[in-house]
Amino acid sequence: MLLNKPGQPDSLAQPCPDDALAARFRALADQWKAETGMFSLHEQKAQHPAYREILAMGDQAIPLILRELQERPYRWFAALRELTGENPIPPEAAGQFEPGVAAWLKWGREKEYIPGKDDAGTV
Amino acid sequence: MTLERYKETRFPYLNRGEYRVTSPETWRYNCIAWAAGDATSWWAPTAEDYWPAAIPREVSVASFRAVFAALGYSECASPELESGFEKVAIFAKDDFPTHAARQLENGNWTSKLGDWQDIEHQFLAAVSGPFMYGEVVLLLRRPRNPA
Repeated sequence: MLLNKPGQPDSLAQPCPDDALAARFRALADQWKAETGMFSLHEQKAQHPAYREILAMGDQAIPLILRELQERPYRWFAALRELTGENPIPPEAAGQFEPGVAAWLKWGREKEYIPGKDDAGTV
Repeated sequence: MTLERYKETRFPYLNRGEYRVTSPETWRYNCIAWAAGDATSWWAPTAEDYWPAAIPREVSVASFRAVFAALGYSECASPELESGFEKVAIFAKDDFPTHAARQLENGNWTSKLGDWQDIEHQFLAAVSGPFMYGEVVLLLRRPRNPA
């Protein structure tokens, strides 16, 4: 679902996830992190039902994860790759947390899943 | 300092020996990185993670063995402290590697628990178990302070 402010051109439209979906996502994210936090390999973390449910949300999960990445940064990189088929993290930054977050947020702004810095009123 | 209760319950053998928390929780590095001496990157064969060049990006004990071989480790038989050697233990369930721990100079082991804290533990068995990291399947050693 897209929500435009009055007078806002379509190109600046931002996804506005359903509140119930966002709440469900947050609950699943919290459960997944708490119950798989002891694992080092994504293959183990990805077996958790909460993670599978997040991925089953499909494209709707992408803006939710990107907003989560802004508000409560965590290693969502593999989930985003699985959902989008892309990996914007440059090879020289592989494994590094902050550059990974920055790469995905830049990708999210470019794809207009999340507001650009100007849209958010900051420089 | 010990782990939070909900974390401790995940490791049924943790209190068979002494253990203590030695770092804050962080997801900037994981157990494989920590065993390899890197506290800045997450090491895994996944596309977005660090994995040494020329090592196959596959989740297998052989791949983990190759990572540590590239760092100068070779297989050994015993987890006992040997003067002049640094040891690493690889845990697995079947052929699925789950964890790596590094031996400290005092004979204890240091483990980064996924996203959670580092701990120093007296015995390797502290982090073993069928619902956790399985069992030690590979022991490696290299000279301390290699030339």
